[in-house]
Amino acid sequence: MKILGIDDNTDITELLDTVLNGSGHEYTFVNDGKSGVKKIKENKYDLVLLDLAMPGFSGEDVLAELNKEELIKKQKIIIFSASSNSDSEMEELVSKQGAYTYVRKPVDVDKLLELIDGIK
Amino acid sequence: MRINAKLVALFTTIIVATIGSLGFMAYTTIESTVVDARIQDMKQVVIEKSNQIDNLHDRASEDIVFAVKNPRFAEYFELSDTRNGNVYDDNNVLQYTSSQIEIKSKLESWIYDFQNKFTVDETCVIDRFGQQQTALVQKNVLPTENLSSKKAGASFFDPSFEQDGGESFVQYPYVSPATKRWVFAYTTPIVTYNDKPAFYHFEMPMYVFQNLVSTDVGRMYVVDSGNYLVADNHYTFDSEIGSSKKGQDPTEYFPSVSSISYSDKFSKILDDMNGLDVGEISYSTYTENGEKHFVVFEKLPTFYWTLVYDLPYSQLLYGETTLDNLKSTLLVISFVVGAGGIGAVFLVSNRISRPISLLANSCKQQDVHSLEKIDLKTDDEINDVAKALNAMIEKVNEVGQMKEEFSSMITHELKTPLTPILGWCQTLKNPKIMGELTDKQRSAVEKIQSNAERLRNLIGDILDAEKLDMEKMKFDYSEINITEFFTHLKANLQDVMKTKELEYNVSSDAELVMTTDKDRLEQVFNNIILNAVDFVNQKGRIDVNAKDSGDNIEFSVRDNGVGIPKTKLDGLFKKFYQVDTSMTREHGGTGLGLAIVKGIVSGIGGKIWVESKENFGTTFYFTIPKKPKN
Repeated sequence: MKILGIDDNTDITELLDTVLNGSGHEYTFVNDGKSGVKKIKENKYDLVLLDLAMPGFSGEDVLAELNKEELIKKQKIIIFSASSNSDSEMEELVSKQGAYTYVRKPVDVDKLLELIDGIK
Repeated sequence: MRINAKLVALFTTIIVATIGSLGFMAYTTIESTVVDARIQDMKQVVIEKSNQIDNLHDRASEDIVFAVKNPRFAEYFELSDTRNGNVYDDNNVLQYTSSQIEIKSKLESWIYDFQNKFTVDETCVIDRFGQQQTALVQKNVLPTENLSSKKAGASFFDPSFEQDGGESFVQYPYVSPATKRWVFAYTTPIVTYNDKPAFYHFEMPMYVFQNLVSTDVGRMYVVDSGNYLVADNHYTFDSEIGSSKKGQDPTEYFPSVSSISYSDKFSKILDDMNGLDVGEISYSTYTENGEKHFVVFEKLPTFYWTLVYDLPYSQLLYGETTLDNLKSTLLVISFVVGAGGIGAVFLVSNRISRPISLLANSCKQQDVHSLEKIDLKTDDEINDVAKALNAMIEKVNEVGQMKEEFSSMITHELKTPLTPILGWCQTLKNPKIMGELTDKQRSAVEKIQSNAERLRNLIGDILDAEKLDMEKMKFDYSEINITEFFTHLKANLQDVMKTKELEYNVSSDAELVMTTDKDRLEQVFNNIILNAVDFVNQKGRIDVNAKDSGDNIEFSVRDNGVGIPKTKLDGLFKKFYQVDTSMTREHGGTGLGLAIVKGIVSGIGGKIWVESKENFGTTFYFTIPKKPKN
């Protein structure tokens, strides 16, 4: 599966690089929102793992931009969030922004893998 | 005591005291004016009465002179029969010679006129007793024409004879043989019209004086220079005259005036009376039986008698409407001013306390998690208080804001590094990615992972407790089937139970369905059950049960662990509360678990309580509404 990671935390992108590429996926990543949008525009990804809280151009900005460009419907996006919002609030955000689902931080790598395997 | 009540009480006291003292001053000032006026009235009455007595005597004196100058009168005295005085028979019966009778009949017409003039029924020119008195005077003094009654100052029972200036007399009361009544007699030597010496004897009944002192109010009496009562409107002179010829003793008939009062001050009044000069008028007071008496007295020119007018306070003001009117006017004014004043006090105190109440109310209505500035719009010190409170509120809100920012920071900054830590642990343990680890390596990784997980849970707990504190926890309600929920719960904790070889049962009394926050309910169960797991011994037992309880479902988690001491039960649901701190290190609790449990149960509308017996175990009970309230 072709996966793009957008996260300012290089420790996380590096971890996912190891985990996902080691699990048979094709994972590439960028460490800022703007580059993420650019990548999505240029390439077709099966899945985007998007961190919400990033300095400058945040994950929400990315979603807004994708919505504006009407690219969102073509792109499955999983949101990473450290927010302590309730599930329903998170679900509301997901459906409002047209994302696929959300994963709470700290990310449980095993569960993420299960989730990704479940998409196909 | 409330400010309102305090102000009203204070000002009411001031108003009542002011009105009371002003009213009292006004009343006493006017009262003394009225009393002074009434004493003047009394003096006027005394002067009038004294004039009447004086007039009576002066007229009598004039008529005596007139009678003396009456040729018939002289003729009578010049008769040899009269001059010899031989006018009584052996039985002491008055005898008149024919010549005496002849002149007497002529004199009687004058006597008739005299009687009419004084409206008295007993006046005679001479009788036997009169003759005796005349003889007494004759023995001591020489007749003179310069007779005067003005200096007749001897007392009734002490006949005196004054040679000085040729003035002499005798005056005395005696019982008239004709009427058996007390009469006042006056005898004086005279010179007839043709310079022949003679004596005149004049009598007047005592009741004439008695009638003169009659008055509507108070006591009026006349005393002679020996302090004997001559007349008294409060004293009934005994009309029963004794059997002796002269009747009863005059000192018994005319008692001393000192018997009128027992007041100490009255004797001083008597002294004052005797010290007066003729024609002088004075006044004094004394207190008798608790009532003040006002006494006006005047020394009469007539026989040096003293006329006394005595009025008690109550009678002094008898018929006096000024004071009564004043009293009612003062009452009306006091009532109006008092009521107005107290009303004004209410208004003023309300104005003072209203902004305080407003301030108190706007403080009471505040949401502690989001304090709003108080808007009072007054221009007084209360506004200063509101301003100070607003400054404080601003600071509290700032602190609240900082707290929120801090928790948001924790959320992000603490959780973010946990992702790579936990993620690498999981990845390291994944042989497909990282290859097989040695046992030592695996053990190390697992230790890192379990501690990181503990850290993750702790952060979660802190955030939950924070949310519950701020009442910012949101609940996601959905319909859940308790049987299914319990199955899930049992499966989830199976590993933990197995490790400690615990007997773990979940049961439901009926097929129960409810609408609640499933995740939070699970968090409640996990916290309680994991808490129980920590405190039961190896191979212990934990039973979870649900039962229908009307609008609620009552859950219970029972263990047969060490139990909780009674003294520790009260604080069980408080944050960071530990039954036994040594257990904390052993079991690794944060002290937040049960506080969060209570917060969640309350948040979704339920109640929680605990029963425990040391060494026998603990049971947590909690009820959750089947349908969320609101």
